[in-house]
Amino acid sequence: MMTVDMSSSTSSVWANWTTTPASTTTYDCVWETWNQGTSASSGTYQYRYVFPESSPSQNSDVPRKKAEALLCSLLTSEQREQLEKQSAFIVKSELGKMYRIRRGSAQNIDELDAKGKPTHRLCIQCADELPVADLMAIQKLMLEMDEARLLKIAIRTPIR
Amino acid sequence: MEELQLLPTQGVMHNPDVTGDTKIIWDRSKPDEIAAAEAVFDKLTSKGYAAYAVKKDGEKDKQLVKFDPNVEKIIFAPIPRMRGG
Repeated sequence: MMTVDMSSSTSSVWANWTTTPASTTTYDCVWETWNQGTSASSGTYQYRYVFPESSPSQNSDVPRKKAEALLCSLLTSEQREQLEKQSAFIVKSELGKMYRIRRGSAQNIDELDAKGKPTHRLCIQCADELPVADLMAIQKLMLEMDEARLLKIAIRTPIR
Repeated sequence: MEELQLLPTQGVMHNPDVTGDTKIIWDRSKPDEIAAAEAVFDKLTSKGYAAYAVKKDGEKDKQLVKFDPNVEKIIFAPIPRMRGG
């Protein structure tokens, strides 16, 4: 936790506070610490910022990690290894076809032929801002248990 | 991220969302928890969400149209929100 002590006139306190990026502090803790640190003396005030320990960027990583954990829980050890090494894994579908799901949120499904060569690309996305791994998990489950519905929704284009 | 540890009597539903996922856990020995989980299941499926059951190790099980408290894990897919790209 970082504490910054500053002494200044009220006008520059206001200027400093309003220009502080919202991502580095919260208004309630600023007010609390300002109250605690206030001392009136000839029109000048002493105040402190208290910055949260965890940065917003750390908090924003939680959805990604949760989604990765869910996806990995649905994969075999072989698929997990494929995902780690190739950023993709192979899925056998409900209708017996082989697909490769690549890490990504657009056009990330390859339909494979008997030799493992991609013949078509499929794109199925979610209008909600899901983490990429969540989308991949949904794609895997639909291919394995609801392939006809996936094929109805997805845009399927041949790979030349 | 630590893997979710469930008791042998527990099942879990995952609803993928912007937070990663929202989990609903029920204990098969507790009727009130089963009822609460079933209410969530019915609410999502009535909105068109698909529910896929998987086994504890992640292996596919079956698609569900009715809540089954005996399955180990259910993952929802927001079908009305899915689209081709």
